[in-house]
Amino acid sequence: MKTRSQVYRYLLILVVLLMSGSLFACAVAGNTENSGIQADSKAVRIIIGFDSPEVNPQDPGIIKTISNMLGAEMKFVRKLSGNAAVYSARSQLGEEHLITELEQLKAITYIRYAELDQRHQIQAR
Amino acid sequence: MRPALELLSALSLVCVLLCTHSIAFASQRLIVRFVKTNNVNNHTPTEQQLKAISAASQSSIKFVRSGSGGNQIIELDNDLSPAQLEQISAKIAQLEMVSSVALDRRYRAQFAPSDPEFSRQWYLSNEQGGINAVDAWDYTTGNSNTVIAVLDTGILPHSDFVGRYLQGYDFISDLFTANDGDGRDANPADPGDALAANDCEIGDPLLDEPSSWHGTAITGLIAANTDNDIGIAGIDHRVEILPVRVLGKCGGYSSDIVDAIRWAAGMFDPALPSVNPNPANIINLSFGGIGDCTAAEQAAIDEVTAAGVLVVAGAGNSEIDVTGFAPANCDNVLTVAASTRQGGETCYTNFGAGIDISAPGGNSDGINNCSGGAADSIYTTSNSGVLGPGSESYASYAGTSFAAPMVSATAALMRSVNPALTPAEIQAILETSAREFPTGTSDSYGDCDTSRCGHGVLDAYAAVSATRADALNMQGTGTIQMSLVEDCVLEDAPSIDVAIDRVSGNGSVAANVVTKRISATAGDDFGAIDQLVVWPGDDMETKYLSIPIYGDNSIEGAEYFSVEIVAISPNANIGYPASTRITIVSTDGNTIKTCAQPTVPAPGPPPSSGGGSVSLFFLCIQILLFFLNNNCVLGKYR
Repeated sequence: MKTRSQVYRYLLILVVLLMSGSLFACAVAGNTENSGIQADSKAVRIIIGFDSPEVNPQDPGIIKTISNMLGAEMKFVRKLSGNAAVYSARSQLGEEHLITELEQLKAITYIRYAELDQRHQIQAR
Repeated sequence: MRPALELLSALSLVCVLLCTHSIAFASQRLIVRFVKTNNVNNHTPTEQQLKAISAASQSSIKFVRSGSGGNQIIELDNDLSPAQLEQISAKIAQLEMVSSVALDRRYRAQFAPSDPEFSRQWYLSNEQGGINAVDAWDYTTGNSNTVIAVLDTGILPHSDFVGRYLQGYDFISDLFTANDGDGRDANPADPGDALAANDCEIGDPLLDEPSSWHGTAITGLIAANTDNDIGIAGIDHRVEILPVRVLGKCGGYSSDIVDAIRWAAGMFDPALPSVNPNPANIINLSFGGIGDCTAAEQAAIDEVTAAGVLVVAGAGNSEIDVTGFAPANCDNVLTVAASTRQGGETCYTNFGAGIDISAPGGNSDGINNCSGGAADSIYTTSNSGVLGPGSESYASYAGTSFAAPMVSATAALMRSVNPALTPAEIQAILETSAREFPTGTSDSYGDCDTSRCGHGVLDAYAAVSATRADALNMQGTGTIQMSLVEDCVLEDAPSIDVAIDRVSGNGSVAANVVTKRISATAGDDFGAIDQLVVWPGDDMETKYLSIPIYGDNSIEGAEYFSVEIVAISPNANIGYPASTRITIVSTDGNTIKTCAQPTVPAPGPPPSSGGGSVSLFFLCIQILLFFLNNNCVLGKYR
């Protein structure tokens, strides 16, 4: 028969496990455009234009192909008008690293263009 | 019976006089000087001289008076456009007996809005570096059917542009950039884009920066309500602004901008929110960055341009060749550099062969070898908030950000004259009408030239004038006429709408419609107009012009003015009636304050010109018939 202290210990462990599991679930769920939780604004983002509306930019195979070509794990951010999509790098990548790799993506048949998602600034002094 | 006949005779004489001098109150006059005979200027032209003038002008004429220095004032009896008058003057000048001919121009005080800060808006004036918007307003003050999308930081309400912006959208998808707690939504309000040091990346910015209220500033520059005793004057007094938020903290992503461009143009795409119910005719992009025009940006710009939308972009403030700055370096973009108050090149503007035109951007801040200060900057609407929104205010700005909207607003004025203009046509007119760059500018990085600063300095008056001239050369056919012979308005009404019909034909046509004084006075009783009405393609819709009516507290009788078609495209005809007579009924001290029903056109063959005289003739007939039929009047004189 377990003592009261053992019960409390097991309860404590259970609570810790539950909390850890919740945090893990939140992390795995990720950030999506539609849920309103946005990607890390400082992650490098790219735009890929596809040659057909039939191409699903969220297809795991396509994302894996893109990631492999860029040498970095990419995640889908959202669809872009004009048969395109925005992806961001899960890890901090230098833009210089990507620029060369992006050229190689254009060799994929269903990819029309691949480029950095540039930032523009107001032009006031 | 005899008194009635005498009355009828007097009326007939009046009518005859009015008909033969149907344009006496709105005549076109020449100042003619004859060759001296016996070293004396003739003080009164001889009959022979007047006949020669009449023959050369192919018009009946009237000698008005002699002026100083041998000037003889002669009045032509036809409705002629300024261009026709110039041609006739040239013919008269060729007569041996004539030493000189000049138009007896009517000068009037230039429209000066009541906006108290108007004096700070040097950039609207005809100063050396100004865009000459004030003169352009003589022809048009814009049209509420034109929409300019301002893709920018969003908008804040301001009393100086109440009622001038539509429901827009917030396209910023990134939380940090958005700074408003959420991603995309239908609320384009600007929460502020203030930055702490190193917010964007290490060293960017170096120091804390307050919010710019950039979108609010650009909106006021384009569309501040004018002549409303508040703040500043806008360049276009009627255009509607579509605020589309794409910039926030550290700027904005190209991906958001691309979506916003398509949405602003009213395009459908499954990746976009519901279709914009207020598609833009012009898209203003006062932002950019060093880099190539991306494929995504170029695709969006190409699509909206093909749909008839003009895209205008500031050249950028990086002092580099604009070929390295996007989206100014994209194809199908009207790229605008910033010029100084004297029309020179600003110290900050991007430059090069890729610039299409220059417009005032303000002389900057007087630092870093840039001359200038607040007086030479661009004064416009703003907000007092440092981080988040505060109270509305005004501020001075500088940058190519403010040059671009001057071009956007001028393009809107041009569209109000001819809504059928394509983006390419607008750009071509702006470039060919741009004012030559001045030399010897002392407030600049250097004098501008066409290799660095585009085709010239934006000139809104020249652009609108050129738009009018081109429109009047449209090659379509058809008959254009006023809808009514007569109409009536109470003097306390704000305006009266007059209708102009196109009753036949095809292809694009235009008509020049003006108000002319009969007994009412332009400026005191009604607002003078001199506008072009355009029927693009096979458009057959009735067009309406709104004429302001000004009331007073004088007890007076009815006053009259006319609205007339005075010029038309070369292959079209002016039908009957060519003019509408407007009666302004006084509302002071009168017990009866109504207007009679407007008179529909009388049937009859439409003349091709001179419609003003014909319509007045029929009016005289109606007056005579009124007295003939009015037994009470006859009874009084029986």
